[in-house]
Amino acid sequence: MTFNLTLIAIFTAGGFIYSLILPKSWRKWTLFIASILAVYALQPPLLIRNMDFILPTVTIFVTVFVWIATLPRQDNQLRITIQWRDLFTIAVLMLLITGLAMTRFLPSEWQLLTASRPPAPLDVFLALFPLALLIILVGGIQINQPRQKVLLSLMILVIIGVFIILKTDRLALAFSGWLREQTGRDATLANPLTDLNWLGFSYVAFRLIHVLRDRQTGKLPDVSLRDMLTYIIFFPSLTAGPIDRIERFQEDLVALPEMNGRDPSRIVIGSTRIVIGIFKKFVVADTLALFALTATNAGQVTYAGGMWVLLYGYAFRLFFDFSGYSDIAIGIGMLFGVQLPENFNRPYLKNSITSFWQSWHITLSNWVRFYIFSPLTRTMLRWKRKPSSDVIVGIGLVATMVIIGLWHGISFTFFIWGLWHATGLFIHKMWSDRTRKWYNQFKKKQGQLRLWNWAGIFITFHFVVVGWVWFVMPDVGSALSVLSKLAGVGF
Amino acid sequence: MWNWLINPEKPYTWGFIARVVIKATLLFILLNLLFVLLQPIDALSRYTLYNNVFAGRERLPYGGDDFSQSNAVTMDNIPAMIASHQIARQKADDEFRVVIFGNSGIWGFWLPSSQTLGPQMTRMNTKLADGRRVVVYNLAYPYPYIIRDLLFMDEAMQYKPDMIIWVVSAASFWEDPNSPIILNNLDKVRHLVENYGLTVHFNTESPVATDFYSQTIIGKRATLLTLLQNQLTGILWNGLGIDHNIPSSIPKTPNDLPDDDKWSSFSPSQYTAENLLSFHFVDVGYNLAGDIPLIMINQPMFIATGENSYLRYNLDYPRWLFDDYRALFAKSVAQNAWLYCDLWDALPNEYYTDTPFHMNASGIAELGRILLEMITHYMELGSLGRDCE
Repeated sequence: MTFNLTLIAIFTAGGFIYSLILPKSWRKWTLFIASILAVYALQPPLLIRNMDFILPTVTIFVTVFVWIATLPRQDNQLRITIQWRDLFTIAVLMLLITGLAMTRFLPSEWQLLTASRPPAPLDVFLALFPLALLIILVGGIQINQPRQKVLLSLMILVIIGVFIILKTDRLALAFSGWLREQTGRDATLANPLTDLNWLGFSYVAFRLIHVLRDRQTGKLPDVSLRDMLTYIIFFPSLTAGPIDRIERFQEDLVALPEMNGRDPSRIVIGSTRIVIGIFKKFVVADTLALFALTATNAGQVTYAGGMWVLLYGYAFRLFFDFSGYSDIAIGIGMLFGVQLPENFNRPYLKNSITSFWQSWHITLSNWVRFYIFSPLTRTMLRWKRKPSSDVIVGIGLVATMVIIGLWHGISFTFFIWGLWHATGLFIHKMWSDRTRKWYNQFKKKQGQLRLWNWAGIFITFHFVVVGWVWFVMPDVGSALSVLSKLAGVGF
Repeated sequence: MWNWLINPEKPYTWGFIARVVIKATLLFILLNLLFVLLQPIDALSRYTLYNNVFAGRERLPYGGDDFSQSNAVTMDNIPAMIASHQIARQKADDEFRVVIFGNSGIWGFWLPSSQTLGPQMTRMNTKLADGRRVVVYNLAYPYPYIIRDLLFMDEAMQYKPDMIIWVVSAASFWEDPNSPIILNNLDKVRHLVENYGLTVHFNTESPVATDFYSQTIIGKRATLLTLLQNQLTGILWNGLGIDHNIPSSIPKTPNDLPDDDKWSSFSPSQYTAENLLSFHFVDVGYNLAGDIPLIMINQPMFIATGENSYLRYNLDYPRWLFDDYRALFAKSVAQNAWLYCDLWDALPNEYYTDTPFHMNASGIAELGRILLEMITHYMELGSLGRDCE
């Protein structure tokens, strides 16, 4: 099931019931249970049997293991103890997953919480029980702080490894074929889109890495298993973000029991964001999708103006689609008492590429800044023979933007898209550093400043829009063909 | 960015929420009631970006099942279809406006729109003796339904044609009023039936629900969406110049035919062409056309010469049916003094593509030349020329 209007209506209605009727003390558990159920309900059906049940289960248990790995330890600590509250969470988790498997016995039209008929409950229990046992036992293993850091690094590498496999077409195809062989299916029919469409993994992976890395740097607060799971798979933001930070998310969870459920401001703001999001996504974006650039229609265009229409269509469709989803997620989150971070702030009206990246997919940009750009530039600054600050910034920007590109899919076109933006950011940095004095003169001349501002918006917008060609076209050849057609050449 | 929402002038209250909900509900009910009362779909359909913001289509929009490939929506809304066509543009003073109706062969299946009959004929730059330019509009549409053609004709008359060319074949006269476009326009068909005393045998109920809910904005949302999609695909069509997805290779209609003399499921031992075909709809066309000349054309078709061609002319027609049809239609033409030209064998087989009626661009050009000759002949001498009469 995708994030469709029916599901949005269910979540919104759920939000009203949750706010207005539900006892305050049930709120955290409700969010936890709803998120666990939603991770199964939102997962699209897959062609390998039970895979659409297994992948959400893996998401949950990877999170559980990450939580164990990130439990705070002291140098001289012999063992960590899993608290009773967390053991209770594991028990509820077991019950929920086994309960979901039991919906197998319902008529198929009532199996609404899983993408397809779930596996046998006994099989699920027998698979989960050893896992639960392992969790409890692992909790007792002595791991001191240095060893924990190694473990955390290993876990980050594993998550990155899985991410690379899923996001690289060839590797995903090979993995899909291997999975088919293991399950006695025809490997020649392997297709990652229908076999391995792991809902929300891109976002889950980045949240998990954030948690692991913050434990390594000692910034991670103490988090219960329930709160960690709720954070990682919080259902409004599971499919399309935003990528929240755990310490901020936890503040909202802590405040939940005291939240005034009948606060009209929260209801109005949350509902309005949902309605605006629905309009942006299902009216504007879906309409623009009719004439947005695709690999097919790019080949049909007969003149440059037509190509520009398609490209503008794509640029606005992408913005309204993505920011619409973010609005819906933020609105639903508000109804449930969680203030998810903003993800967009009028990005196409920014007068520089730097401002654009401060207002487009803000939470992803922040994540990459925290975990890639800042550590990398800090490291380079500590080198004995440190390069010039321009080189450091350049390397940092390239690394950051290429990773943002590859996060969307590991291909040469996404790589170039990352480089495109890194180049833009670097040029803007150099330009603004060298023209600051000159630019300050404008501040006294409002008319010229306004003109300069509009010129900046025009240039930035078109830089971003032309960059989308690398984002949408499947290979370098077709992207170059589109770019040449935009210039009126190659028809 | 969200300051207007987060920091309102007055704090939000439950009274505010109640007022918004009540006002929104009342407005929603009122708009729906107005919509039911005014029934504005037909009027809305004629308000279009085509011919205003961007160019009209060169043929009626037909997207098959997937409009994303063809930049055209398949729909049953005849006013919207015709309003999106070039014919809905202002008629020039020196324009002699010719409108053509017909099936997929005339619509131009597997051809880019610029290669279809209307644009090709217009590009031939024919001028009449009085100096008017012959501008031809292709209002043909896939599948041969004569009742549908009448519905198109009825709507097209408001765009002031000077001449109508109606290309038909035997299947056009097989009374099959159960196609979606006819069933979804039953009110318009009934209007024709009542005005012209037609006999139409509807085998099924109209799928168009007439209850109150179906007349509301919510009930008509699919129709409204199609209207919107029709406008938006126009942007793409204008941008790309493509309104039909053409495969890279198109098979040829077979010259060797099956050993079967049935037409559809009708066997000559049980049926005659007279049982199956009815020509009385043509009269309605002449009534709709009024003083405007209406020329009936028996559509050119592929005539097989291979195996079993003694039984059939092609995959579509057995000889018994088509021969009888031609004879019967010629008789009706003579009785009613219709303008008619039988072009069934006017073009060589090399022009046909995957069906006996689909032609390549050269075939269409050849047919266009024949028709233009006929038009000028008629306008100058009052007869169709060739050996039509």
